[in-house]
Amino acid sequence: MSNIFIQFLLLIFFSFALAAVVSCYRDDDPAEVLRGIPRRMVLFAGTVTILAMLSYVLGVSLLAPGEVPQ
Amino acid sequence: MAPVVPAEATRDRMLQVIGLSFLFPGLGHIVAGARTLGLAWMLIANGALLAGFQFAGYSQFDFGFAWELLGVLKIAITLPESLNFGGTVLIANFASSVEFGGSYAEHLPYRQLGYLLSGCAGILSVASAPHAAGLVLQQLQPNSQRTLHPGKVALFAILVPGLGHWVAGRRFKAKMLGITLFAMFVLGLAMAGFAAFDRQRHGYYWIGQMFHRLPAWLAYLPLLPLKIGAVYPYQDTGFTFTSVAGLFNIVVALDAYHRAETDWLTHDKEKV
Repeated sequence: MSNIFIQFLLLIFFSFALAAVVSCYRDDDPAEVLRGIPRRMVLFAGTVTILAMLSYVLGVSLLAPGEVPQ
Repeated sequence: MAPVVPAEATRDRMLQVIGLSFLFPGLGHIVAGARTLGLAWMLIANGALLAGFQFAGYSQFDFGFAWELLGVLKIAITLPESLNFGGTVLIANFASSVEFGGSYAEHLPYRQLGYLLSGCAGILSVASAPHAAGLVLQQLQPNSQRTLHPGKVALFAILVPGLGHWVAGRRFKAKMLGITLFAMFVLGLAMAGFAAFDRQRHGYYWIGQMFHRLPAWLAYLPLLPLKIGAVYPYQDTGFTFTSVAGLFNIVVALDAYHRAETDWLTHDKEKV
């Protein structure tokens, strides 16, 4: 069984790698690359987290299976 | 700042050799005047491709798609072999997978070596395109201050992630990208019990994983005996990490070429 905190840590690592690649592609100066990484990392990880929360809320509310009529 | 690009005539010539190289590796070099290099590239890339297909009983085609064109020509797409488009199409028209003949690829003892060879050959084939383009840039817009044209930088970048940036003088980027993506690849392998890298079990992930290039190619055969013996909690994340790390490396190689080209055209000083 996976752990939600480890999943979150893995998301953070993935977001860091993605942000590093995109920042290096966009900018050439090391200072600019370093400045771009946290912003892009938070943007990606934040979007994924919001989508995950939305999916969870929908899953336990609107899309939750109802009771089977007897 | 306006982007620095080669002159229009140079760009046209570069596009020409890129197209030819993609069609058949080495052809771009021959057209650019580097006949010996072109022939060598052609022989090595196509030889490795053919040997790989032969070892694996042409079962690489089972991982891709094929279309009959007017009932005459068979267009086969299987990645990463099809990065040598001409070679793969040529082979597809003369041979078909052993599985169509009723045999199983599993019975071929060297099939995994074949997958590795043909996969490497596909990637090395497409590497001829930026190299030939760099050669054209060197010929048409020479730069006496530099020895490494962008094609050579791209070749280094294609062989080892981060090495292209290193030789282009961008040590910070080389370390940042090389270490991050290598860590991502190894972490991904670890999360799937180091058994995530196998074409027969995870054919689609394998395409991305092969783009981790030399480190992955060297690890492929030694890791094959390891099998997934249980359901690991993060194995799917592991597959994704290994595959995406490889795909990120394509972006890294493109960036290395682009930066080296800009340096070549601006006569820039070395970066840190």
